[in-house]
Amino acid sequence: MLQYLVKRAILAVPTMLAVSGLVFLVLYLVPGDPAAIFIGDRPATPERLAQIRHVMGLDRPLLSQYADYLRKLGRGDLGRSIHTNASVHSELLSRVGSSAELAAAAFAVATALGLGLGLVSALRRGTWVDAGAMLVALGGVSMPIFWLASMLIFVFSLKLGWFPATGFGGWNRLVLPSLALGFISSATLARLVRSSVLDILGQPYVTTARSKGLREPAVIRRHVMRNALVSIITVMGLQFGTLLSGAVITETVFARPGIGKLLVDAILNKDIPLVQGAVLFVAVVYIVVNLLVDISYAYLDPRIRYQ
Amino acid sequence: MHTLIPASATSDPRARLRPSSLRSPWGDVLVQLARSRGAVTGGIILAVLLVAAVGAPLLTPYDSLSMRPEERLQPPNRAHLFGTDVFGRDLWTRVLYGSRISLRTGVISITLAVALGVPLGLTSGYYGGSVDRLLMRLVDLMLTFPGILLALVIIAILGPNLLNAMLAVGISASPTYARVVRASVLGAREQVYVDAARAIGCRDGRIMVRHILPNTVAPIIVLGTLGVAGAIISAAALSYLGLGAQPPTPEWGALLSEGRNYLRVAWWMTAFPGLAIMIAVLAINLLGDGLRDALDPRLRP
Repeated sequence: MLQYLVKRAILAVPTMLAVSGLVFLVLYLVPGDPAAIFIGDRPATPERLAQIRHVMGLDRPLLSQYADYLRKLGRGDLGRSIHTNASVHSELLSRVGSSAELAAAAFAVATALGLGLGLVSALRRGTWVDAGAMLVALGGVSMPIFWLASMLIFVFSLKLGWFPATGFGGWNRLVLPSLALGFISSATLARLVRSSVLDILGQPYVTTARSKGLREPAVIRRHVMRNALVSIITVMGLQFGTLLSGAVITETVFARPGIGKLLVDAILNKDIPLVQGAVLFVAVVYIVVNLLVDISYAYLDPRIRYQ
Repeated sequence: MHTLIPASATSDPRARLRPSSLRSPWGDVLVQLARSRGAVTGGIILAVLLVAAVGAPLLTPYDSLSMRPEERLQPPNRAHLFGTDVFGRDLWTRVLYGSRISLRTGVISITLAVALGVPLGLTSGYYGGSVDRLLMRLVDLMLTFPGILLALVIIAILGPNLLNAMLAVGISASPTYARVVRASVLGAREQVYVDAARAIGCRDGRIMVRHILPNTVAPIIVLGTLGVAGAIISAAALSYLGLGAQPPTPEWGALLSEGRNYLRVAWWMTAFPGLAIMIAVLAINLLGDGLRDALDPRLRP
């Protein structure tokens, strides 16, 4: 098991390197002179630009600049925001709490709703319960999250006044954003849970379990759910990606000071170092989550562990 | 006798009695599709939307851009079915004209994704080896950026406007198509008919296009249809964030963005464009689900 863990962790290293390379290149892919981008809208003489180019190492070969970039990354130095001149590192750190809180709460909502809807509709297959649950799931797939979020704000914040519409801090500011994000993320999960549970209900070992007199809840828990979990966790890992990009939009709608809002504002301000930092951060989080998903497979399914 | 026997004489006479629509595989697909309640519903809604988009000028007396300050922020009423916005523009008209932009954006984005992804997957699967490894590394790298993150990176590079939003959504959707096409190609390239084609001297290009590509059509149609739905939402999301269509373009996401600051006083500015997105996406998803069941049940989640 440990050997498997180490192997998977090592395999993630080249991916991270490639992602950092791509993020590094963003600065050079933006049309225009990188030095001018760093100055922003301030006017500069050609001499000043040349000086910046030299100080930042922009006049050196690309590969040595990348090596330099990696060295700085290793120290946690992501450069400075053009807009605020604060270090990207500290900008990200100040936002990460809000995003983590939202992601965790939304993930909990998504899991509960997805598993619940999927399981109920599979166990009540062909009834109106099934049809209703799947209609809700289809709605979740088709609904734009920014619209759902706005409607939640309109009803529960502006009309009923139950929850504040914007900001960060306190559970009552977390309810609406995590409901919106969680609901959208649960839809795909619900559809998958339904089909994999239906698939497993038809397996001979379920019939065996029932025929030996096991009660239905125990059959579902021990034989159906345990086997369904492998594919469910894959999709949950993938859905975490949807959740991350949904968080970008959710944070903007609810004006939550998170990484997603930071990224969108950075793009609008053409603050390239901040864009690079935020993108790298989200991508690394996603890679780590997928790594955890792979590891949990090995835990759930011994066949993978011994391959 | 040296004359060739006409093909019709050798075929089973009973075959001619079958209805012709059932003979081709596409006929089968149509029959299956017509049996699916979801697909038919989706198809009808989509057809209505398309007719409305094309016939927009006939369905409204107003112009989508001209402002009438004296009629600003009116709630839905007889003259303005969906109300008016902060500049007194008729919202029904803007949503109607917006359907032209949003539906087209979805289709163009996915066409681009298919145009990029299919050759990539075809080359990768057909040649295998180091070509395959290199291309799939690239695809995996693109898939490391979840959801719209890659699109955001592309927008950060190209700058925010509707054309770039389409490019961004198309490029970031392309790896999925490359993956799926590659998988179909891997199965197809070991078939006897491919060996036969090679044996009679067909070039690689011809084998790929004539003998292998047809195997990938079904999954591409299914994924492409569902993809248009996703692309409409993604492009609308970019516009909502201010990174896609810019005012005064009545793209659906941009309309929602305009309504954002007036949610308290004008809920209709947010409600109706959002409903339009939802109905269009729902219809396309229903049709896509039906197509999947009819064409390629293996793709079912």
